[in-house]
Amino acid sequence: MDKDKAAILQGTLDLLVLKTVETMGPLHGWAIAKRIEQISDDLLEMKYGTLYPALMRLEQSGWISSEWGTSDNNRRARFYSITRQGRRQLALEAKGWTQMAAFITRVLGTTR
Amino acid sequence: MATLRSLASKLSALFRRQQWHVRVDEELEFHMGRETEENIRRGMAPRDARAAAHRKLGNTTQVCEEVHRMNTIAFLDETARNVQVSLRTLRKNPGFALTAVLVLALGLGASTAMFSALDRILFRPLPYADADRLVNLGWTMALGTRPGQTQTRLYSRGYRQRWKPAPEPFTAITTIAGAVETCDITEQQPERLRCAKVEDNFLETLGVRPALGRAFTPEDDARGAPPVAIISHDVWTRRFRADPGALGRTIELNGKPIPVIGVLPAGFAVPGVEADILRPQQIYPIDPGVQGGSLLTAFGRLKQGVTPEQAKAAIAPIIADDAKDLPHMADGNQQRVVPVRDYLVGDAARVAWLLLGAVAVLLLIACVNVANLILVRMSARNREFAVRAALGASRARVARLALTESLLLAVAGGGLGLLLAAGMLRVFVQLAPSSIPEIAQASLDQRVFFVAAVLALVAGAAVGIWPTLSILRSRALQHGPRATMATRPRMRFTLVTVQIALTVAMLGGSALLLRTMWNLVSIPLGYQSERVLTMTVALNPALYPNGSRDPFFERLLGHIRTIPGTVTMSTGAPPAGVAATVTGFRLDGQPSKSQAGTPTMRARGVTPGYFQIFGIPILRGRAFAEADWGGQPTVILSESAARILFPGQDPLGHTVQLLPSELKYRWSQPAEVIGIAQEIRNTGPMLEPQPEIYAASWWDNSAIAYFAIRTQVGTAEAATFLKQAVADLDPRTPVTIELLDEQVARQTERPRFLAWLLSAFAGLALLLAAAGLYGVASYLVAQRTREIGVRMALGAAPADISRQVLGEAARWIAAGTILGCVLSWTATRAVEAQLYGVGLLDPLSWIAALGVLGAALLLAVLLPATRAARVDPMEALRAD
Repeated sequence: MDKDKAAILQGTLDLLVLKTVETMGPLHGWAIAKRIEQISDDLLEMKYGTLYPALMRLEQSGWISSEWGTSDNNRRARFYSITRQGRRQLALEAKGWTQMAAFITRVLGTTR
Repeated sequence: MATLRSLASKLSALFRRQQWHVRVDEELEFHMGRETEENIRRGMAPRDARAAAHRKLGNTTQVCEEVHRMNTIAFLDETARNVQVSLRTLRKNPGFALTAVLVLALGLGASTAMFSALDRILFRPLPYADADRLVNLGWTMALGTRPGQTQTRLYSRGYRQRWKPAPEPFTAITTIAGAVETCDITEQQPERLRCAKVEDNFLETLGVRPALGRAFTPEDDARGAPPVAIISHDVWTRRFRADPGALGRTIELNGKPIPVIGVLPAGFAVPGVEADILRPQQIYPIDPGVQGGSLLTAFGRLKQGVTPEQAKAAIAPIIADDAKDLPHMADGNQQRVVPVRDYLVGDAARVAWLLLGAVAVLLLIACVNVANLILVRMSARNREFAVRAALGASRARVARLALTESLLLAVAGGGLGLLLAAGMLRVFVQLAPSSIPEIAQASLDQRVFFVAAVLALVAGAAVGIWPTLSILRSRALQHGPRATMATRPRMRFTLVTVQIALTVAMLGGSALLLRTMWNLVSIPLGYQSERVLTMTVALNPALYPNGSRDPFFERLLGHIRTIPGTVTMSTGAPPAGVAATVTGFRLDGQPSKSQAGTPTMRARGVTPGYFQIFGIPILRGRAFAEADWGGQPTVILSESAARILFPGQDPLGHTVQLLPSELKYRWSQPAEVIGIAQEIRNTGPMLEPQPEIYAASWWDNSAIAYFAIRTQVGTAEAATFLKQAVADLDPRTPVTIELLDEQVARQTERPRFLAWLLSAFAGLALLLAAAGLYGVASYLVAQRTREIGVRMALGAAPADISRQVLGEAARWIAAGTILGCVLSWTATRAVEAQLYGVGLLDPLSWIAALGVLGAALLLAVLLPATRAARVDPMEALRAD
């Protein structure tokens, strides 16, 4: 693992996935992984394998839905899209994250 | 809510786990393909591209495992696996599994059958609202042929003044008049039903509303009111095809069409009697000029929170007032106020509890036995458990595995037990004495299934708990397999001892009951019952008005006398069945002092030949001659009657006059005492004889006559002849023909039933205890093979070895027996009330019981002991 790349913070993968499928519409797993990596300007190091259990967990929670489709290279792939419930959850988690981030920034600012 | 949903989704995921696996595989495959393509596009060599993709993806096995875990409820998963493992181990040990299942099935089956047989008596709710507040009240009178069999009655004269409106602490009192009488439907499809005459507030007091139509009103119940009837649900469905239009139609009873005004709800039963039709009593107001009255069966509804005992104390003076109208009511009779369930079940409750107790003990023994079996097997499996522990299974996990196995055994045992129960129930119902109410209706219904399931689970937990505890405590899990060899057998020892102790109690109880049975069979009845047929002929009073009955019976008697043999006709069931009770006498014209404790005497009108048929010796004077029948009034007294009526005198030649009894018999001429007959057991084999007066005369207008025939022809032929004789005169008149032997046997059927059943249970218990002891002894011998080998190598003789094994077993047997005797001290009190002619400490019974026990148990340890003696030291030392 490269030293200058951050590992995905525990619990944030869900948020990233939700946000990705919300903005990009239905995507298959590989595309979601690529997209997250791309947005992070390749600063984020992730084992793609961990994505799939996360996708299934999100689907079982009812936040995303999935169906089989055909990928750009004409293969069968599973496409994920966000549900109404998922959007609510995303808003909730995003808010929580922003608050948390602001708090941590403040803490770091005062102690510096 | 959220957790509920997540549980639901987890459950659905659990069932679609396979789908998720296929899907994750496919997705990972797609991912790999796409990534490889991408890498190639970026200029990697195909092989490197794939490897890089794989690296980037990470450990796919871990991914699959995570998906698996995600879709798993750990507990269910473990349980499923435990069940699989247990099934596999059980299949590998069919001998153990089969024995355990059979033993449990036996215990559970017997308990289930017994529960279903006795549920109605002891537990099932009665079909009355708030049945706890419903009581039966009145005077108890000894009526019947068994000790303890009583009926509770009030007297009708004065009843209204005393009980209406209901005194404190009752909200209502209601009655059934007299005995339930047969009534015949005389329209098309004639049949004989039972009619009960009830007060107008009867249904209301029981808290029951008719399913259809209305209950009786005070107008219906007034004397001279137009007759009406409420029919049972059964009659309604049978005769009216459950047509609601039945209301307002009529039903022809005893030749009179009577309007149907209501239908009883399904499942309703008149307390204590079987009745198909309810009719108003219509006995009030009683004409003050008319003497007499009738006996009433009374029920009262208590106010909230009042106990029957409080009520009894409150109304004692009112019940006592009955004696003003019927002086003998208080003689030897007691007042009683009891909950209606006690009234219905009577002394059968004791028997029911006794049986339930016995079957519970049997189940306990079965459980202990299986627990022991499992325990023995567990120690053999200690090594396996130690390996499991070494591989990371927690103690709790291993214990759960062990518990799963015993629960599986119990479930299998419970299932098989239900099948057994169905069979056993049929046998119980067949054998059960008629004096245990409701037993014929017993069936395996939902309620019984539920109880059976609970019993099976409890039994499973019970047989599993000891072995599981022993695992939790075992050192094997800590120190590894080698440390297991010397586990102390204390727990097994305890279990065997408990089994033996329980068996001692069972054997002792059944030995006492068997002696009771023997005593009953060998009671000298005082009469000969072999080859005697009895016949009861009941005339329908509607078809045979007063004056026409006596001639009918005389004609019938003449007809029957043509059979080769002896025939007698009597007014009470001969020689020990129902008979009139007389309490007032005039001796030589002087009234006897009835207050001075003249006991009730039985009185029976008999034709000459009575004493000859039953072989009752005439001690003094003579038997009736043909001339006495219808001639000068004569009587024969039983020994005790003679002693009581004529103390210190010779009764022969004196006259006895029976005073007009309140009971419906009327017969009162001074009659000369011509003989003294030997005492017979005239109220049933188990009861002390009552004084009896035989008269060579007929009660006027009796509607029932009893015949007894001792004949040389076969009993079947004789029965056919008797039926034909009645049918020749009137084919509509029903007859009942029985062998006197069977009648006598029926009077002792309850103790016989108990003796057989308890003996069967005790036999099973003994078998189980012996098997348990055998199992443990064999196991110990097998465990000690090495030790025995060493000892033999050092010079011990085979006999020493056997003696040691036997000695150890003897210690267990002794401990179990001692504990058993202590236990029996209290346990056998349960059978005390069922004993006859034998005390609780009857030495013969106990010696027999302990002897059988000792012999069986000794036999059980003999085989392991000889096996121990045959151990080959060389082999024993070489092994392991």
